[in-house]
Order: sequence, then structure tokens, then C-alpha cells
Amino acid sequence: MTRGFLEKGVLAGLVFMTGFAVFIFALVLAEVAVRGGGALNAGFFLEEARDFGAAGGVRYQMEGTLLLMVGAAALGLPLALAGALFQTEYVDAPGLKRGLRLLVYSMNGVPTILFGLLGYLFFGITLGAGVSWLTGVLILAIMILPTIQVSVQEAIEALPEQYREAAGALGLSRWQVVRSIVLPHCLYGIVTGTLLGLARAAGETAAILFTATAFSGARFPEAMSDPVPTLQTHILVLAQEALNPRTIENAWGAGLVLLCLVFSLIALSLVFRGRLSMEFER
Amino acid sequence: MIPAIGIVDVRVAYNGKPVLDAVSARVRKHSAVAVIGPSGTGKSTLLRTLSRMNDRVPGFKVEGKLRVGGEDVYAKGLDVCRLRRKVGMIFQTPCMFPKSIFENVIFGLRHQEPARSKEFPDIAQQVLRRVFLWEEVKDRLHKPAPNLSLGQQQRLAIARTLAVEPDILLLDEPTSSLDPQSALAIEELILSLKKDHTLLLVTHQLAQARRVSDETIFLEAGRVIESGPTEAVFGRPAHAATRAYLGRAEEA
Repeated sequence: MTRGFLEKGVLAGLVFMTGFAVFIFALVLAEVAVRGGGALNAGFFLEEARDFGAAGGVRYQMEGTLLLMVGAAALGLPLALAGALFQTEYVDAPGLKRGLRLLVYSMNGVPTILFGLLGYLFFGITLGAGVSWLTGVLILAIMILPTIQVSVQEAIEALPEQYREAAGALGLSRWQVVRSIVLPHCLYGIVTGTLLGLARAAGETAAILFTATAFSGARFPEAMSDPVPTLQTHILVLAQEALNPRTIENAWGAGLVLLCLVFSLIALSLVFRGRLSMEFER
Repeated sequence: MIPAIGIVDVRVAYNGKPVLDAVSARVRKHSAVAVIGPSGTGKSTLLRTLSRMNDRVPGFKVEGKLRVGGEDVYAKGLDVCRLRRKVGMIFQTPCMFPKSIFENVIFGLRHQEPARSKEFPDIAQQVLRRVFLWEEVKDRLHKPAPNLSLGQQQRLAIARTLAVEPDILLLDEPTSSLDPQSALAIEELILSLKKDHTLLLVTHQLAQARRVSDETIFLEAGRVIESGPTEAVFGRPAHAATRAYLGRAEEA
């Protein structure tokens, strides 16, 4: 077998596998778009769900999802940033650094239902927050924390050491180096990580199903102790229990809205990553 | 008289591997001392140890006494930031922050003395003149510094260090990444800095060491083989190892 033949074979294999992945992805997108597209109209975005989801829209579900996401990001981002900066800029012992890194990466792989279970036991029952928006935000914040931290950490670690040395040689303290060099450089990592974390939170169902959300009777929460309706729970309940074809179509419609939300966040994160990274290199 | 830099029996190791072994030297105030020797012999380590740039390097260990202006560099509780303002360091490859030329020049000052912000334009002009860069950049002070040529960047790095008013300048092969013309410009600059600063220069270019320095230290395998007035070290080397190194360098 000639070398050229082997190379062509490898390339063909790669093209096939990539094509297969793209095909599956396109299939999912097309399926959701075709089945849910019919449900989308202005009323779907502006009205509340009625008749067990057979009529009306997903206004409060969208608001609830956004509320959980924004709350989780507002809480998770500072924690993730502090963790990433501590680990990269202040911990000098290689063993401790490795240990913390392993912990963050492991947390990223923990099944989300465990976050939900432990979060509910601790925040919901022990601290008395119950099934509420607050419990959901706390659980999601902890859940997306490693996603944000890994992204921020990778951005910080990509900063060439010579910048730190040049700033340190001018007599800047570690915090001054962080503030003037490290943070501006890893801004794209912060934005990317936050958006990816938000996308993860937006797609999450298991962790918030029994801790923060309610299917019916809930609108926009008036207090942090109120539960919220979310798109994820709405889709799950409609898909599992509805028999009316109109309800099923609305579930697909809600799925399409959620999918668009997640894709928009991922697309935004990619745009920011490119832009901010170029800005720093300029 | 207290020397600007005093090094007594200094031993440095990385993860137990010795890099400097019983190094002793004195550098007089307002003199220029060149440190020469083969690659990997600990010259840069000596400079980095003096400004405590190796503190974060895993496995770094230092023994002996290093003093700057009589102050113990490794004394407990020493303010490292203050030490580094006193002992400026210039690296082999200039590192420009992704900011304008002006912001690069006053970078250190802006963090240390923000109250003097009104003086920054004058200080920037003054230090840029001292490094002979003012005429070349005066019309584009607010343009990105990374766009300058390497030679200009190195002069800007020196200006940035001068702006924080150090007593001592540690120059780690400051011309090795430059073209001959830029290297010559840096050399002239080093000569002009001698009257106000104490200079410790690591270089592989022996002709440069000879032109610029008053005294020379020859390091080999982490030990000081010979040190003294530059003319004596180059003209009448006392040790066979020095003669062999100078001979090899001349042939190369």
C-alpha cells in the first residue's frame, strides 16, 4: 500500500466522520424546526401558557429560564474568577496547583442530577430555601462554576509569562499585575466562559426540576422563595404527559426557542472569543 | 564604602541542581560590570536572583548573602516590589504591553505613583529622550507600542524602567535579539546611563563587554573563575579557563 493511498484513506475517513456528525446535528435542528416552527408566532412569546400548554405561549417560561440563568451567572462568575485567579496567580506550590486543577475539571464532569440532589438537600431543606428561584440559582451557579473557571483559567494560562515578568520587574504587586495585565488579557475567557456556562444552565433540566421550577400556577416570581416556570420543565412535562397534538407542537415550539437561546449564547461566545483575543494581540 | 551590589558566597539551585556555586562579587556605585561566560553557566540566574525574579520558580533555592545598597535582598519581610523599583531589570527580548507607546513608558509609574499623573507627559518625554527615542516616536506616542521595531522596543523597555527611577539596572543580554545597528544604539545608551546608574550586564558579545564595562566577571559552571578590571580580564587573563574561553570566543 503506497503512502499516498493511505493518506487519501485517512482523509476520506475523517471527511466521512465529520460529515456524519454534521448530518446528525442538522437532522436534530431540522426535526425541531419542522415540528416546532408551526407553533411560533408573536403570541407564543408574549402570552402565558393555558389549557395545560395546548394554548397560549411560553412567556413566563422564557422569563423564568432567563432569571435562573442571569442569577446563576451573577453568582457563579465572581466565584469562578476568584478561583481561577487564586489558582493561577497566587498558588505557587505545584502540588496544590495540580490538586485544585483536578478538582475543577472533576467538578465539570459531575452528573448534574447530583448537583440537584445535594443542592436541594443543603439549600432547599437544611437552609430552608425550599423549591424556589433562590435554590435553583444557587444550584445552577455551583454547576456552571467549573465551566466558567476552566475557560477563564485557560485564558489566563495562555498569557505569556513575559508579560507578568515585565510588569513584576517594574515593581508591580501581584494584584496590580492581575488588574492591569491578567484581567484585560483574559476578558475573552471570562465572557466566553460565562456564555458557555449560561448555555449549560439554559439546557439544564435535571438539577432544577424538583428544586426550583413549577409547571403550573407559577408566573414571574415575586420573591426569591417563589418557584419559577422554565422552558426545560415545560417541554419535559408537555412531552411526557400531553395527548393533544396541539400541546405536543407547543412543546416542540418551546424546544425550538430553547435551542435558539443556547445556540445564540454559544455563537456569541465564539464571536467574543475571536474579537477580544484579537483586541489584546493588536 | 558600601557597594551598590554585594554578593557573598551565593549558591543557587533549581530542584536541588546547583546553578551558582559560592559566587562572590562587589559592584561599585555608578560602575558598569559585565558578566560573561558560556551559555548555561548561571549568568541570567545571577541577575534574576538579585531582583528576586525567581521567587515563583518551583524548586528555586538560594543561600548566601545578596545585598543591594547594603540591604539584604532575601531578608524576611522585605518589600519585593520596592526592591524591584530600586533594581530595574531589562530582558533579552523586549516585552511591550498591548498599549500605546506613552502608556508603556509610564506603565510602572502609573501604578506606583498615580498622584503624579499630571507629570507623566513630562516624565515620558524625559526618559524617551534619555534612551534616544523621543525624536522617533514623539508624533506617535498614542500608537501601539508593539508596532515598533525590536530595537525601538528595547529602548522603550529601558525608558519604561528608567521612569520608575531605579538605582541599579540589570541588563540580561539586551542586544542579543537585535540587528547590529540597533545593538550599537543600545550600547551607546548603556554608556550614557553609567553616570547615573549602576549597571550589571550579562552579554555573550565580548567586544561589547569590553567597550561598555569597567569591570568583568567571568563565570563558568556556576563559579566565578576570574573578575577584575575589564582591561585586565581581557588583556591579561590570569586563569587558563578564562584564556581558553576568550580564545574560543575569538575564533568563533
